[in-house]
Amino acid sequence: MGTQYMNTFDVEEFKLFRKFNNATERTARHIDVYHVEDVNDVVKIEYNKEQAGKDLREQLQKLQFVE
Amino acid sequence: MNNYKNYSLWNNSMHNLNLLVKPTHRCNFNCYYCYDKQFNVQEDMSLDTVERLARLAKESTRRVSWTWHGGEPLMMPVEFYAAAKVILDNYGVQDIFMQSNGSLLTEAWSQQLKEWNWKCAFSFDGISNDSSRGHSKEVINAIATYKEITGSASVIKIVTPQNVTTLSQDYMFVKPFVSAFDFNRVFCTQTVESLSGDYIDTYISEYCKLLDIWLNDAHPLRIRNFDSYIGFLLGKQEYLCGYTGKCIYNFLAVNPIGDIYPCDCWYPEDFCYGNIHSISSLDMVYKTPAAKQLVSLIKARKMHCSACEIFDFCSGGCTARAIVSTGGSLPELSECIIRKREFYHLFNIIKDVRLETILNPNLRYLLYKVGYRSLSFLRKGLSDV
Repeated sequence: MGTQYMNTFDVEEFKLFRKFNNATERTARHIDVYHVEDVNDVVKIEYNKEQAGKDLREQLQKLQFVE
Repeated sequence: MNNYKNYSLWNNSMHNLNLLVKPTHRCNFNCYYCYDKQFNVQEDMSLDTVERLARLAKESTRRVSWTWHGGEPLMMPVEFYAAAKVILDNYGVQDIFMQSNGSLLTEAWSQQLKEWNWKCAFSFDGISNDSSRGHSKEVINAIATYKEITGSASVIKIVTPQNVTTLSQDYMFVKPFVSAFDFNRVFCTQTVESLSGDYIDTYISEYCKLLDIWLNDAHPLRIRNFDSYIGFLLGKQEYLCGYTGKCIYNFLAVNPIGDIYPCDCWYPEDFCYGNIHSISSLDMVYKTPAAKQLVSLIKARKMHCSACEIFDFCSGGCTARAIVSTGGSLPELSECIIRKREFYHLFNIIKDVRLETILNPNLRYLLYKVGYRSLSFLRKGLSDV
C-alpha cells in the first residue's frame, strides 16, 4: 500500500479477481477463517491459508462459477 | 467504541424508491457551487403536497426512503415537520433522512430528530469550509451536538478546484466530530466548472493519500466512496447511485410545488416529469416524454461506453452530469477520466493485500467475512490444481 498513484490496469487480472470474489461464488463455498489482527500470529495465518486453499480446491471441483 | 463487527457494505442497500423532497429552495447560505439556486421556485411546500406524495409513495408498494433536501430544509418551521411526520406515519413512510447545512440545527432540533428517528447528514467542506460555505464554528458545534445526541453524524464535502488540495487533510479535520465522511466532486453548472486539467491530477493525488490514510486508520470514519468501490470489487450489485445504470428508476426528486425531476441534481426543465398533483401513480412518470427522452439518452451513452473496461462498474456514469456537460448521450469527460483513475488505483491496492496487515479494522473484518482472496493466492492456488 502507498500513496503513489498506480495507473496500470490489467483487465485479465480484474476478471480473475472478480471471478473468485463475488456474491454468487461465495454461496458455493464455506468461509472458515480466523480474523487475524496481529501480523505475528503465524498459527492463525497459516490455518487461514490452508483453509482457503482447501476451500478453493473444493470450489473448483464443484465448478459452480457464474462469470 | 469501535463497532466494526457491525460493519457491512450490504446493510445499507438502496431502497427501491428514494424520494428527494425539497420543502423549500430557500437557503441561508450562498455557496458558489450550489446548483439548487438555479431552480426558480419561490414557494415552500404545502402539507397537501406532502400528503399527496406520501400517498403515491405508499401506493407504489416499493420500499421507500424519504430525504428532506433543499435549499436548506431547516428553513422550514418545526411545525411543518411535526405535521409532515403525522402524515408520513399514516402512510407508513419510515426511513426518513435530512440533508442540512447544519447552521440552524439547535440542540432541541437534534433531540427532535432523534425522537422521530430521522437521520441527518450535513454538508461541510472541511478545512476550507469558511471560504466556500461559512459559519464553520457554529456548524461544527451543531454537528458535534447532533453526534453526541444521536450517536453518529456524517458530512459530505463538495470537492472543487478551490479546495481539492485539502481532501486528505479534511478527513483528519472532521474526525473529532463525525462518524462518516463522504466527498462529491462539484457538479458542473452554467456558472461552475467541473474538476478538469491539472485539478484532476491534484484530485487523484489527494484521493490516493486519503485512501492510504483510511486503510491505515485504526479508528476510521466510514467513507461511502471507498465502501462503494470496494463493494463493487467484491460483487455488490448496488453502490453509488449514479453508477448503477438504473438510478432513474430508484430516485425521484420533488420540488416545493410538487414538480417531479429524476433526482435532486440540476436538470433542465425539459426533464421535469410533471407534477404530483396531476398524476395518479408514481409509475406514470416513466411514461412521460421526459422519461422516454432520458431513457434514450442513457441507452445511447451506454452504447458509447460499452467497450470501456470499467463499464460494468460505472454504466456510463451519472446521467445528470452527462446531460449538463454533453447533452446526455456521452459521459462527462472529466468524470470519465477521474472515475477510471480512481478505479485503477483502488483495484491495484485491494487486489493483493494481506489482510492481517490492514490497520483499518472495518475493512479488515469485512474482507475476512466475505472470504477475500488475493490475486497472488488465486494464481498460486490455480497453478497447484
